[in-house]
Amino acid sequence: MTTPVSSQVATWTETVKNRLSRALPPDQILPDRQPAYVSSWIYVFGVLTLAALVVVMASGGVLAAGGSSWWHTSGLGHFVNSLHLWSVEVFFACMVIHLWGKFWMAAWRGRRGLTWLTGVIAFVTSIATAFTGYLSQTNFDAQWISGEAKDGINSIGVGSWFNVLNPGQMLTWHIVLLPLAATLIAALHILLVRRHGVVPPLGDEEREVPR
Amino acid sequence: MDNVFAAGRYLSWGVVSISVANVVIVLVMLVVFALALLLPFPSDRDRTPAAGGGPAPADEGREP
Repeated sequence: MTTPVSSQVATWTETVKNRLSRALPPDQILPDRQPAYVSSWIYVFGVLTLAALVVVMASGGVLAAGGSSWWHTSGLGHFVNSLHLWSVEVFFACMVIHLWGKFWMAAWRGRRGLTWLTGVIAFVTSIATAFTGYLSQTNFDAQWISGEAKDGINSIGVGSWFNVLNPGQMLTWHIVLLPLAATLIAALHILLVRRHGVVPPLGDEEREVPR
Repeated sequence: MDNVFAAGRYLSWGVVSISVANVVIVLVMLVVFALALLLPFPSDRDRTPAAGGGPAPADEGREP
């Protein structure tokens, strides 16, 4: 004999669905309109950072598939290697200009503290990813940088498990762990921007769409 | 052609040492930041001048 399931007891899938739909209402996550104050070039640099990140990940994926001998010796390998480097340059330039704009706009206003914090963590994670990228070039640059960095890393006591002189470990951090962390934190950052809305300019708070 | 493997030029000021290339990049970023604040953003009205209708109210929003 089977026991009938009470309709009063929510299943875990139902609970998760309800919580998600409360936390991420579809009209806020995928809006088709934005407040008028978003019509400014300074609001463009967040999405430019995201676009550069897509190129960084795609070119990095091709480099990982080709391997170091390919990117050092073939013309196409040199091109993809340069594409990876320059997309990283654009990524960081746009991210820092985005940071300047948001800092002078006090973008943590209106209960957006967590949005600001996830942006800070994304920035720091990106720096760590870029650093391990320099160590994964398999050239004399990488050797020199790791030789210089080891003392700094040892001075903070983490050299035994984050060994910058170990290229295999640095490559794993660079192409698996840190990109995964950076992507997840960037996704959370974007969801929070969608959830709380784009921050209005200082003194323009009354034009913000209530949520 | 210049030797691309030659050491870069550096500016030094006390304990601060920075390559000329990095100084140029920082200056360009500052210029882009200033332009982003000063240049007008194209509006729907600029893109479709013959579409009819007057200027949209400022708070009506726009298509992203």
